[in-house]
Amino acid sequence: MKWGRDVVQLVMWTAAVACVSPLLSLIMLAFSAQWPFPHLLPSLFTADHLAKLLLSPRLVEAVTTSLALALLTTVATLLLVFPAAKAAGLYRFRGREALKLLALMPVMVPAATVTMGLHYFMIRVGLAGTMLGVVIVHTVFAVPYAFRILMYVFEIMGEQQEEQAAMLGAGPLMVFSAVTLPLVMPGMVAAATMSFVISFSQYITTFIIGGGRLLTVPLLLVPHVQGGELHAASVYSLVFIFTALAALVLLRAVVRHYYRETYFLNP
Amino acid sequence: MKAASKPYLLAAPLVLFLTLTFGLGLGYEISGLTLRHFLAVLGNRDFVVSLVATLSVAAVATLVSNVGGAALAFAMLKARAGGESVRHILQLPVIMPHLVVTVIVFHIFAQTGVLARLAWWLGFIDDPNQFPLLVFDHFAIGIMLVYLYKQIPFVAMVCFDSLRGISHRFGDVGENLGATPWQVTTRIYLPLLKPTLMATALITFAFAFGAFEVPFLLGTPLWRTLPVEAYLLHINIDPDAQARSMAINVIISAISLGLALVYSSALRVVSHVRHSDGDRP
Repeated sequence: MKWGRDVVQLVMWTAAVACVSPLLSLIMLAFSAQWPFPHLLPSLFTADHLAKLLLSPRLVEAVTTSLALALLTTVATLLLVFPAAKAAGLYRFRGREALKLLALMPVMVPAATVTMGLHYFMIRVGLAGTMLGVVIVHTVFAVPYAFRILMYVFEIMGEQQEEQAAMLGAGPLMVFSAVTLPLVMPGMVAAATMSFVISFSQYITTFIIGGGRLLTVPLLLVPHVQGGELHAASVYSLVFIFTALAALVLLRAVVRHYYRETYFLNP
Repeated sequence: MKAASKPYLLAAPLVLFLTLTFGLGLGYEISGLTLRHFLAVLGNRDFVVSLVATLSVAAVATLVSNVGGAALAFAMLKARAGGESVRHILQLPVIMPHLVVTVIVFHIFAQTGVLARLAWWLGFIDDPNQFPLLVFDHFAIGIMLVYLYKQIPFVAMVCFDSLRGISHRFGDVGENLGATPWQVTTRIYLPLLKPTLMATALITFAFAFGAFEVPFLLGTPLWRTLPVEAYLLHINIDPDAQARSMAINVIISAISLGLALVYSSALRVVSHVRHSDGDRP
C-alpha cells in the first residue's frame, strides 16, 4: 500500500512538471538573444529583441483587431445564445433535443470545412474581407460552448424566481434586469470568457474570410512558425497568451464591480 | 398560462443563425457537385491516404488521451490534496491556444530542439540529424504531441470533476463486500464514468479529426489531413481543384454528422440504462 502512494505522488509530480515546463521553456526562448545548438540554455538573455518585436506597428494592429473581433464575437454570441439556452434549460418542448444537437454542430463539423463553404457565399454578398463577415464565422464556433454553459445555468436556476417577481408586479423588463440577469451573471461571465477565447484563437476562419485584410495575432504568428523563426513565434505566443489573460481579468473585474455596486448580496 | 410557442420563439434566432450559416455554406458546396465529382475524389489515391491518416491520427489521439486522462483522474482522486493542486495546474494546458502549443512542440521536439540538445549533452548524438524526426514526421508524432498535451489534462479534469461528484458509498459498499481496490476502480467507478468518457472521447475525436493549424504547421509533406487537403485545393485557382475541395468538405461534414448522430443515440442508450437501474447517487 505504501508503494502505491509513492507511485501516485510520482504521477502527480510528473503531470505538474509536464504541464508547466513547456511554458517555461517558451518564456526562456522569448527572452533569449542567442541560443544555438547544442546549448541547453540560451547564451545570452536580453529584452532588446523582445522590445523591438513588441513595438512593431503590425503587432499593435494585430492586437487591436484581435481584441475588437473577440469583443464583437462575445456580444453577438451572448445575444444569440441567451434566449435559446433559456428555452433549452427551462422548458420541455418538442425539438429540444434537436436544438441541443444543432448547437453542438460547430464543434463536430471542422471549422475549416464550414468556413470554406461560407466563403463562397460571403464573396457573393460582399461580406468576405469585412469585420462583420469574420465576426459571423467566429460566432458560429463560439456558440456551442456558450450555449452549453448557459443552458446548465438556466436548468439549475429554474423559473420560480422569475415567476415570483412577475407575481409581485414586476414587468418583463424589470424581471429581466433585477432577477434573471443577476442570477445568470456567473454563467454569463463563463460564457463570455469562452466566446472571447474562442474568437481570440481563431486562425483559419479569420484567414479565409478575412482574405488578408484583417491582421490578428494568430495571423501574425503563423508565418513565423512556417518559416521556422521560433524566436519571433515565441514572442508573439506570449503576447497571445497575455493579451487574452489581461482582457479576461479585466472582464471579470468589471463584472465583479458591477455586482458589488448593484447587488451587495454577493461577496 | 405559458404560451406553447415561447421556447420556439426564444430559440428562433439561434436556430436561424446556425441553419443559415451551415446551410448556405454546405448548400452551396453540394449544389455545385455531381456524383461524378464524388467518385473522382473517392477514387483518388491521395484522398484515400488522407482519409485513413486523418481517421487514424484522430483515433490514436482519442484513445491515448482518454485512457491517459481517466487514469490520471483516478490517480488524482487517490492523491487527495495533491490531486486538488494538480487540478489547478491542469487548467494551464487546457486554456493554452493550440497555436502556442504548436510553437512549443516545435521548440522542444525538433531536431535542434531542447530534447535533441539534452541528447547531445548526454552523449547519445553528435549531430542534430541523428536525433529522431519527431516533427514533420510521417507518423504525425509532432501533431499527436500537441493534441495529447491539451487533451490528456482536459479529459483528466472533466473525469476528476465527475468522479468527485460520485458518492463514496459505492466504493465503500464494494470494499465491504470484499472487492480489491482495482476491482472497485474498474467494476464500479469506471462504469459510472462511462457517459463522461463518451462525451470527452467525442470532443477529442472531433477536434483531432477537424483541426487545421496543427497538421498544417507540423505535418509531413508525404500526406495531409483532410481539412488541410481541402484547404489547399480550395485556394487553388483551378476550378476542378475547387470542385474536389468542395467534395472533400461534403464528405468531412457527412462523417462529422454521422459521428454526432451516433453519439446522441449512444447517449440515449446509456442514460436509459442508468435510469432503469434506479438509484443514482
